[in-house]
Order: sequence, then C-alpha cells, then structure tokens
Amino acid sequence: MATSNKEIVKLYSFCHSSCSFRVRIALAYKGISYEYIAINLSQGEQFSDDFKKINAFSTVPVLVDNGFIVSDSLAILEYLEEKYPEPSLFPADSKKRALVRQVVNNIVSSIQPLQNLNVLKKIEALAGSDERLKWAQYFIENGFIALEALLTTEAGKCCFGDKFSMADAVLIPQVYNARRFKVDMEKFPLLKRIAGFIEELPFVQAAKPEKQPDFVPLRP
Amino acid sequence: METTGEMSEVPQTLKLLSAWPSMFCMRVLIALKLKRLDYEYQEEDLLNKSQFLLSSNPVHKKVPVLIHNDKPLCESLIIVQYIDEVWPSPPTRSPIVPADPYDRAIARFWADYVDNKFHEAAARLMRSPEGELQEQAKKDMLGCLAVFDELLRDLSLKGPFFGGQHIGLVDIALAPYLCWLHAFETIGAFKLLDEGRCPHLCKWANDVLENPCVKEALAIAPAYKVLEFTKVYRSMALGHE
Repeated sequence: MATSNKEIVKLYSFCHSSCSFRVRIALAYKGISYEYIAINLSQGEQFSDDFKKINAFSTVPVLVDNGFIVSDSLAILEYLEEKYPEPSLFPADSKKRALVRQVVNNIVSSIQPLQNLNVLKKIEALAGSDERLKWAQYFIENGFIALEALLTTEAGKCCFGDKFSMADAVLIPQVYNARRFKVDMEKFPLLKRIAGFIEELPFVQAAKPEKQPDFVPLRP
Repeated sequence: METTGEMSEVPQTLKLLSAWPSMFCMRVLIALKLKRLDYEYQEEDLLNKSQFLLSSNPVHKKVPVLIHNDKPLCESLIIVQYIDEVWPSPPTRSPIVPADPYDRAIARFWADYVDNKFHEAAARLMRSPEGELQEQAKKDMLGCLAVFDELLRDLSLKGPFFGGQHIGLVDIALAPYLCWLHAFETIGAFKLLDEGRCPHLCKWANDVLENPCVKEALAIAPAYKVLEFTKVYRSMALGHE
C-alpha cells in the first residue's frame, strides 16, 4: 500500500492579497505543500479569460485540490480544516470555537470587505483620495476597537490562549492591511502584541507577502 | 504531506506490531498519524507473542516494532525519530525532532527523562505491593510531574506544546501516559496529576488530548480498560514475588 498520496494542491494567489495570505498561513501551518500560481491583481490578471474559467468571481485565493476548485478564503479554510484536521485551527471547546468564528467573521465580513480595493476605488472616485485613506482607516479602527475589547479576556500568546487558531490566521493579514493604511497600532496594544508574536511563527513567516514568488514592493 | 517529484514513487509498506495498552506503541501511532501515513496494525498478545514479533525483535522481544519495507525497527523513541527523518515535514511545520542541534539535544534529553525517570518510577508503582516501595514510587512519579510542570512554565515556548505550536518529540513521549493516569491513581490511591500542583501540565494535557492524531492514537487504550489490564498485570507481578 502507498504511504504517500500523490496530492496536487495549487493555490492561485496574489502576494499582497490579505485573503490569499490567510490561506497561505493555513496551508503552511498544516504542512501542506502546494504549487503557487500568481495572479497579479494590480495588472488585472484576475479578469483574463483563462482565470475566469477557474473562478468566475475573478478573485483570489482559489484552491485547486486534485482538480477540485474552491474559492473564497473562508470556504477554503473550512475545507482545509475538514480535510486536514491536524493540526487544528480551532479549539475543542464549542464556546471557544464560536468565539473564534466570531472573530474570523468579524474580520472577513465587517472589516476587510469595507477596505477592499474595489470599494476604495469607488470612494476615491466619489470623494477623492484623502477620503479613500480615511475610509479605510475608519473601518479598520472601528473593527479593531471591538476586537481589542473581546480578546482581552481570551488572549494568551495568541488570540485564544496560547494555541494558534483561525482567528490568528485571519488577524495577521488584517494587521498587515492596517499598517499599509497607516493605522496607528499603538491604539490597540493587545492586537499589536498578538500580531508581533504570531508573525514570528515559522508558518506565518513563510506565508508573508514578501516571501512569495510574485512579491514586488507596494507602491507608496 | 510529501511534495511529489517527477520520479514515480516506490511503493512503501508499513506494519506496526503493537499491543493496545502499551504507551510505547501509542507513541509510534501518534507519529504515524501526524505524518498521515498508511500502515497496517497488528495486535500482539503479549502472553502469546507471534513468531513474527519474536523474529523481528529477537533482542528485546517487545512491542512496538515498525516494519518498513520488510525492515524491522525497535524502541519507540528511535522509531518516532526514524519516522520524522524518513517522512520529513515541510519546512513550515515544526518537525517532531527539532532541526536546531541544541534544541534537538534538549528534546532528546527530556524524552530520555520520560523513559528513565518517569516510566521507571511508574513501573515500580505497578510492581510494588503497598508499603514503602510503593510510597517511594509515588513520590518519584510526583517529582517527575513537578519537573515537567516547571519545564512548561520556564521554557519560552512558542505555543502550548513542548514542541511549540506543533506536537514534538517530548509531547509524543509523554502523552500516552494520560491513558494510564486513572490506573496509576487507582493502584496508588493518590492524585497524580493535580491542577493545584501542576497547573501548566494540566493545561498541556488538555491541549495535547485535543490534537486529533493524539486522540485517535490514545483511543485504543481507554482509561477503564487500562485499569482492568493493570489489575491483571499487578496480580501476576505480585504473585511472582
């Protein structure tokens, strides 16, 4: 019998995409090797006919697992968690799991989409580039204030105790975005501390934008 | 999971000769599951060992034995380290045995401590009638757990496990004893793992038991079954004195 399965996992990703960053972290944490396929969002590669065949939504990340295609970072994270339950991205206790999901959904639904590139372009068109930056900062800070309060009673080295969870995998890309939009992280000492610890972990380091094959520095 | 190369892979076979109560066998099971390996499990009756076991481990005649492509490997920690070497984890995931030589030496030191100090004392508890010998064994076991608790407190660990965010060698060496806790505490009529005295070790125990691979491996030896087994074992051991 075979002792290693020939699994071909591919990830369509953009180095600076925080949604892709989340999935890269999960893959690294679970020790899953994959082929990195770069889609440059700044160059509009997501709108190519070839990529639209892979994902009609024209978004990254997209995971292709032996031909099975799934997009949307949260759907991918849940799929990976079910297919590779060890190491787990969730605590065992059902209440803690609910709180992990609360943090994850807060970031993926109520923070990141509001500072997504498409939204910011619209704001800039409507109100100018100053408003664009203020808009992004407002929604990130708004979300971070609530997270800072919630995690006060839960955090250890990570968001929930000392064990890495999906909350951490989703938080650190959002902190990257916060830094990009010049949010003052000194206002959020707990999130700053957690992020500082998480980003030094080897599987998070491997997932960072600057470590990806398609990395180019962001324009200032 | 391994990355696939262009070469076709040679089919590999893995067979584990095991006995369900054995914490040493559970160590190997944890490692096999962590690496997501396919293996055949063969249960051995330790009172009636198979010829295959005796010929695979003629020196010690013990389980676990891992047969990899018809080559036998013996001694649980040696097998676990072999598994980690032959099926290395991707670099983003901590290996079972640390990559850094110093960290590796420290991990091996503590795995050795589990065997030569903690297990040795536990074996004495199992073999001794009530009285001075048993009291000394209990004291020594409690002493070992206090050392582990302090270790968890002092090490600037990168996570809840001795191995950091991922299960490592020391976690694998120690975790199977959690199946035997109930048996130890019943035989010795004492509280071995106490939250007041060893809060960090208790927390570690909760975290390590949540790991799906550990949970699956330890499921072969539920606490009540281990207790029944130890009662039989003890009556045999004491009967021989």
